[in-house]
Amino acid sequence: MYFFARLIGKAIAFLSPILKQGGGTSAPGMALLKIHPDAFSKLASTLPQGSIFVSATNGKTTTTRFLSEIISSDGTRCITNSSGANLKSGIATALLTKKADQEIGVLEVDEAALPEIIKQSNPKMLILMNLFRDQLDRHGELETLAKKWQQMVMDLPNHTKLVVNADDPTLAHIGLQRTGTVFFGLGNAFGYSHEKLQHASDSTNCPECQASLHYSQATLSHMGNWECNECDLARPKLNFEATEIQLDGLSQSNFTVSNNSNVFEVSSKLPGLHNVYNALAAFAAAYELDVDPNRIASTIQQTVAAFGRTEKVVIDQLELHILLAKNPAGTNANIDTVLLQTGPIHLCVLLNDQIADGRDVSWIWDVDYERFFGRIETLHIGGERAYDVALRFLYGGFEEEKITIFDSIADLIDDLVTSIPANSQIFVLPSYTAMLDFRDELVKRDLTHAFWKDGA
Amino acid sequence: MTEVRICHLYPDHMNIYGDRGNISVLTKRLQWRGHSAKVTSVGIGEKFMPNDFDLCYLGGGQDKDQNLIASDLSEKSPAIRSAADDGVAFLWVCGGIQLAGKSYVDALGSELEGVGILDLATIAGEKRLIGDIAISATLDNQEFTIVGYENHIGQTHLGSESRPLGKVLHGYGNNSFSKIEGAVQQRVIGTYLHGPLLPKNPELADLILMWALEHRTSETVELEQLNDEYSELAHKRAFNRALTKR
Ligand SMILES: [Zn+2]
Repeated sequence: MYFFARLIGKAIAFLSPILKQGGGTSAPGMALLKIHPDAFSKLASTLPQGSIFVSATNGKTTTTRFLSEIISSDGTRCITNSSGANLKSGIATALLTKKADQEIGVLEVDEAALPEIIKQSNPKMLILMNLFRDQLDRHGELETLAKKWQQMVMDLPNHTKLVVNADDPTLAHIGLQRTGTVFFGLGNAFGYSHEKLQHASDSTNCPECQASLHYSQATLSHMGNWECNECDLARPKLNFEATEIQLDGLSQSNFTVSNNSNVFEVSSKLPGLHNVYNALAAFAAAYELDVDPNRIASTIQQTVAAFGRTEKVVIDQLELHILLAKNPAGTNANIDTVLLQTGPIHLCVLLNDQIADGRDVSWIWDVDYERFFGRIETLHIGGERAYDVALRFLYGGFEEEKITIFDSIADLIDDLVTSIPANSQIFVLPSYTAMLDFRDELVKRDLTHAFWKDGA
Repeated sequence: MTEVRICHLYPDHMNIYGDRGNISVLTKRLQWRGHSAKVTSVGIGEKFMPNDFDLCYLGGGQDKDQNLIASDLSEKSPAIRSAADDGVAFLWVCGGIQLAGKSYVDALGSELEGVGILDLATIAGEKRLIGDIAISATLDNQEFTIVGYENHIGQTHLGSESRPLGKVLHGYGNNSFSKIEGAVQQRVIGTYLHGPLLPKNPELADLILMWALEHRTSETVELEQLNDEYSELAHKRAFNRALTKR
């Protein structure tokens, strides 16, 4: 029965890219799990070297990409869900299409789906990056999710290596429940950190005693170097620390990673402090897996962004940067990144309200868009909830004359191409399905590749 | 030109759905008409002086945050009640409507005392009521629709002294069966339409501002019309979202 179900799944996996059913990224696994609900744990056990899971609100796709490229850089055949299909069905699909010689899985997992998946998969390593408020209509309150993660970590098998971002107080607290947890975080990020917490900061109370937390450095949202004002809880000692951070516009970031005994120079093409966290997490994980540190650093240097994540597209004389913006913390990180560039900003904000975007668009009011108002030359707005975006900017004090609103993405792109002066940079901040719509339109015009061919 | 004094209660704890959007709308709509707003944050351990304000806003928070502010809020309760009796305008949304009532019983059965400026009681239900919502409201003899998003586990029941804010056209509202939404009593409005509801609902914003200006000046106030083209289009879009089953 299992064999038969697997066969059907494989057949669907083969057909779906041809039928263009969501790029064929979830349908086969969904079909298999319907026919054979226990299939997941069986699938997960077929990898000789086991699987590594990466979860977070933001950065899981990029971190997974870094780590899978590092692991496969010596020829190890690695299976990954590069299309971003990160629910149980998507992961089942990735495992289902496993080729005979593939040995290890590096898989990103949706943060709400994670506890159940962990229960059924006995992972080799689990990497926890961050938890921010995101899609409260789907994920529920952050606090509830954090409690589920806490229980999940308590039930984790002994052999599972846990790698945790110490800069996130909630996650650090969860990681401290176990011995042997590997912590990573940022050392002095002078020049790029914030003096006070950003508006969309969630866990500013101590996870142990509820007193307020003190930050000697705030990096992104509630992340940073923190300690409790009342009890002994503070950011744990870092096993991997990124220091001497130099962010060079949108072109690259340089930093060093120190691990008590050694210091390694790292250079990455992915811009922004959030990507320093992603690269650092991948570095720490790979090092713990005994990958040669020089090979880790050289692979990080060669890795390019996943689709829609600081993806650069050139149209004639225009440079277009797509920075997926799906929640307040991620969007604030994107704004920080855009601000690393000098020169005028041509901004494009696209907002949809499908399930994958979050149907509730309230979150745009938690983003600190005001920080780059003064630098924005033109603002193109599109997507199903374009007028909500327009109101957000207008009530924030942005000049109405600079705003143009479009009902269709095709019209919006036409206008970008014709109205923005040559040699300008355009920054596109789309919600998830708006990013897919926008890329679809670029694919139609032969300006980029289809997303399910990403990494191929 | 009049300065309206706005109190933003617990902005650090009760801000889960972009609540500051409502403060922006109130402030900007005053400024665009030549008035001004003085916004004061009042948090845990800070005094609420009833004579200092014309308008009071409280947003929604996570259960954890709601518990963190609970004991502080009960100390402020008498002052808040006296402001409501004095005709100060109130907009308390999401967690706010629950705390404006008499009591809130959470999922574990523990009871939180409310401020009591609205005659209602809330009990945590079985399932969360989540989704787009549209209601038809009648306030000060004006009829208009209000659109937004709701996400709450509370089942709220109105007493006789509060009247509903509106009838539910689509969505849940106060609870899963009665098809009414929110509560109004004196100049206190409570609603489950959470977070930034005012940008898309300019009639409601202006009505609250009118109340606040009347409280400030003790005179009848007329507000000039603004160009609300974007608000109307955003309203229409959200209204259609609420009426379409997804
Ligand atoms: Zn503490």
